[in-house]
Parts: sequence; structure tokens; C-alpha cells
Amino acid sequence: VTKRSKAFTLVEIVIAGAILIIIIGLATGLLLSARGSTQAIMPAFDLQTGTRKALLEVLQAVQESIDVLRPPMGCTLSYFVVRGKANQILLAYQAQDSAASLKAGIPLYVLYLVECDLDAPDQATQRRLIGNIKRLSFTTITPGVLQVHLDLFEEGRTYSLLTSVRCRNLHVETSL
Amino acid sequence: MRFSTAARGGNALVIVLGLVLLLAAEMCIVTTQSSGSSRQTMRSRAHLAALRLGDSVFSTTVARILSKPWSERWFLNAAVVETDVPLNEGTYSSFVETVPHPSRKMVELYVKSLADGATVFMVWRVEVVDDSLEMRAQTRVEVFTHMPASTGLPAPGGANPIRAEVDRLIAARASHEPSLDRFVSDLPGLPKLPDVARRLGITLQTPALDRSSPLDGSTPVEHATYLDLVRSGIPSGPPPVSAPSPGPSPGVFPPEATALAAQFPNPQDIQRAFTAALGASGMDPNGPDAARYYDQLDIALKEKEKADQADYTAAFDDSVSRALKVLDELADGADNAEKAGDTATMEACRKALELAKDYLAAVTDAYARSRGVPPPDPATFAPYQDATLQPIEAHYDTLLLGYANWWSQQSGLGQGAAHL
Repeated sequence: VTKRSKAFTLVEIVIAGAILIIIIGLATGLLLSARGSTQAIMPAFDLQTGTRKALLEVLQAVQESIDVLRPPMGCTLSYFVVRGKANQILLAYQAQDSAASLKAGIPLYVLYLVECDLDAPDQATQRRLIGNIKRLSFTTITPGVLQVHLDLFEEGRTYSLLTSVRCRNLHVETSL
Repeated sequence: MRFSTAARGGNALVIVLGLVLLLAAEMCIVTTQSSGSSRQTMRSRAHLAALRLGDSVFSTTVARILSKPWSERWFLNAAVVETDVPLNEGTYSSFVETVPHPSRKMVELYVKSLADGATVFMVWRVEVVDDSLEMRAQTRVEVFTHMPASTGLPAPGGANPIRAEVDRLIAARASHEPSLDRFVSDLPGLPKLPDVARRLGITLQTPALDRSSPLDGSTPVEHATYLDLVRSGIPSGPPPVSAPSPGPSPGVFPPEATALAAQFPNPQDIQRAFTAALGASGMDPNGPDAARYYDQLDIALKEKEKADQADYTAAFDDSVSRALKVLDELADGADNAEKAGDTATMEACRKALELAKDYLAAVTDAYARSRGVPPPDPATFAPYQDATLQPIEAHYDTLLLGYANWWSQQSGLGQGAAHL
């Protein structure tokens, strides 16, 4: 009995190699496709996710406040001033974002939130919250309800968010 | 034909296995990237669900407090804590106790809600005014605030650091009130954002945007909505009243138009000019022209804004005169219905008239204050100061607030606030 050789035949090697090439080709194509899709979506997704978080922060600040001081009731402005829960001032306003505007070719803005204790104005804090803003407006529906309309611009697309938030510390005198 | 090597260790199999492992790793990377996106979305959704759940618990608790006399409340003798109570698709823990007060009925309520992994901790101090005839005034939120989600509920009978925090908040509120009231009284004289910032002593990032978007007055007004408000009080249901729209409410900033704005009849023209200019500059952020074009754009937009304000100011007088015409028509409608013995129509017209008059007065007053001129002469409304309207004047603010609430519900987007 002749001992059987443990080596692979050339045909086996060639077939295995062909299968490997096909698998690697498919896998690489899939990976590149997935990466392409992810890269296309992620900036917009990150922007929306980040904006939602920042917007929640703004809405929570308004929610905890006592009343809306500006815009006057029934009016729309590009900024708002509210009386905070501890009678401090919260001012949200927009400033132009030159770098983003140049990139997009249209004016884009950044929302800043200022918290100011009038008894200690030098301790006011100012934070950048939301970027890539195409339009952001605030409308006071009642002294305690602020409507927020936000248009975000990213990669040639505009994303709109519209919501209303109520000041929960509002002192409403409803006795007739 | 045979192909053999000296070392026959099954290399092909090892290579295949290695590549399969590599493929699996790649798939894991792709899956992780995708699931990260999904996780972010789910987290936002869970946060909102937790907020809603907490609000539900608050409403339920307040309703339960009001359902029995104050002396029979379930937390009369000691704080009551509930933990991990299932509600909808989440759970909540709550803490409720009486806040000692010599004359007021005060309740401390904490709710920690958990939904889909998101936790929200909300704190209320509520005053119970159970002898009020007005349902909405039977509870009054003294303090509402969020606490960090990691905060634990106090044990019944033990120390309550959250109550101390709420007390501190109320004390801070009281101490800041005089300075804030002074600011609020100054606010009507601060027409622009930079004026507000100066008064607050803060420095704005530049260039700050200060654009007022006057409400769009192009939406037709459906005057039947006035009657919808009072419909519940009229057994037979009122007939519709047809009245013309008085048009948009005015902007609140002083008018000023310049020749530059006239070159750009609408904002799109400004935008196009700006984009073309940027294109000509090669869109180079470091280019010398870019900053200049931005300056020009700012100037153009500001001037356009001023022109818009001027237009709205010019439209204001017209708006008021048309509003007065609406008042006349409603008053005539009420008189005619009274003569005809149509009580339902008469009542509907009178109530619509009251609401319309209130809104007109509010708009003119706000406008006058924003421009630093005296409010309109009350004699303007003299023809409507009949016996029916006089009691309303005494509760002007309450009516206006109720009306605004109703209006926001009716219009959805608050656009109705632009119209009479």
C-alpha cells in the first residue's frame, strides 16, 4: 500500500484561491459600500443628534423658567429672553458662523445661551449650543409658552424642527 | 499531476479560516457603526418617553390629591414613597410629602421615571388651593426643576436634601427678584438685542443676528373661530359671522428705510447677490473679498429688515382701521340680532366683540410701548364700553391669557396671533 500524499492538488489550490478571491471581493465591496453610506449619512446624523440634544437643553431651560420676557406675546424674534427659575436671566441669541457660511455659500448662524444673574453680571456664562442654523425663530404664544422653529442646513439639505415649550414655573392668576 | 510541498500543514485551510475571521471582523465594524446611529436615536426617544411618563405621574398625583379633602390626603402623616411602579412601557419611583407651612397647603412631589434606559428626575413643589372655584387654579406650581438622574429619592422620615435645594432655589428667586423686576421695567426701552445685552452687561459674539420676523398676515382669517370659543355656552350653536381680516399685526421696532434696501426688493435678491459675489471671490475663506462681502450682506439684510419694519409700520394704521371696522360689524351684528330676537347670535356677536376688542387693545398697547409713545386713547374704544363690557375690563389680563391659550390651540402654530 502506497502511503497517500497529504499535499493539495493544484486544482484544489486554484479552486480554493478562486473562492477566496470571490469572497474577499464581495466582502470588500460590501465594506466599501457600507463605509460610503455611513460617511454620507453620519455628518447629517451627527448634526441632527447633536442639535436635538442641544435643543433639549434649551427647551429644558425654558421649561424650568418662570415666564418669557421677549419676544412680546404674539411676536417672533431671532432671540429670546426668559426669567429663569431663580429669577436670573436666560438670553438665547444667534451670531453668524463665518466658516460654516463660507462652506455652505449661504449665511448660517450659531445659537448661544447666556445665563446671567443680574446681581452678579460679571459671572454670566455664555455657551455655544447649536450650529449650522439656517433659520431659528422664537414666537411667544402666551406669556408662558414659547414656540421654537429651527431650520438646520447640512450638505445642501434643510432639516426643520418645530416645537413649543411651556414655562412650568409660570404664576398664572386665573381667579375670576 | 500532483502538487506537493515539503511541509504539508494544511495552509490553505488556515488561510481560509483567517480570511473568514477577517470578514467577520469587518462585518462587526459595520454593524457597530450602524447600531451606534440607532442607539443615538433610541436614546433621544427614550428621554422623551421618560419625560412624558414623569408628567403622567405628576398629573395623576395632583388629580389624586384633589379627589379628596386635604385632611384626608394619603401622605398626611408621613412622606409616601413608591418605587419601581410600572406605567405604560416604563417604571417610575415617586416621593410625596407635605411641606409644613403656616397658612398654605404645600406638597413636595418628586418623580423619577425610567423608560427604555433613560432616566429623568423631576421635582415639583405645588400649592393646593382646593377651595378655588376655578379648576385650573386649584394647584399652583411653586417650583419645577429637573435634578440629575443619579439623584436618589429621600427616605421617608429621613433627611431630605432635595427639599433644602428647593428652599434654596426659592430664596435665590426672592433675592434676585428686585433686580430682575428693574430689568423687566427697562425692557420696553430696549428695542434691539445689543441694547438688551448692554443692559445685562454681557458681550455678544459678533456679528450677532438681530432680525425680527414680523408675523405673516397673508393667512385668511376665519371669524367663525371666535364663535367656536363661545359655542359651548350657547345651546343652539351660533351662526357664522362674516367679517374682513384686519391684516397683520405690526412689527415692534421703529421704522427706518434707506436707499440700499430699495435695491433689493426681497431677501432672495440679496441672497443671490451675495452668493454670486462669493462665487466671484473664489469661495476662499482667506480671500480678501470674503469678509467684505459678508459685511455687505449684513448691511443689506439689516436695511431690508428696516424696510420691512417700515412697511409694517405703514400697514399698522391700516390694520387698526380695519380692526375697528370688524368691531363695528360685530357690534352691528349684535344689535341687529337683538332687534330680531335672535338671542344666540346676539350673545355670540357680543362675546366675539369682547375678545376682538381685547386683542386690539393689547396689540396697540404693545406697539405703543415698543415705540416709546403713550398707549392709545381709551376713548378709541368708547363706543364699546357698554354695561356688558365693563366687568370684562376688570379682568383684562385673565381674559387675554385665556384667549391667547385658546388661540394657540386653535391655530396650532400660533400664526393666528398675527390676526384679529
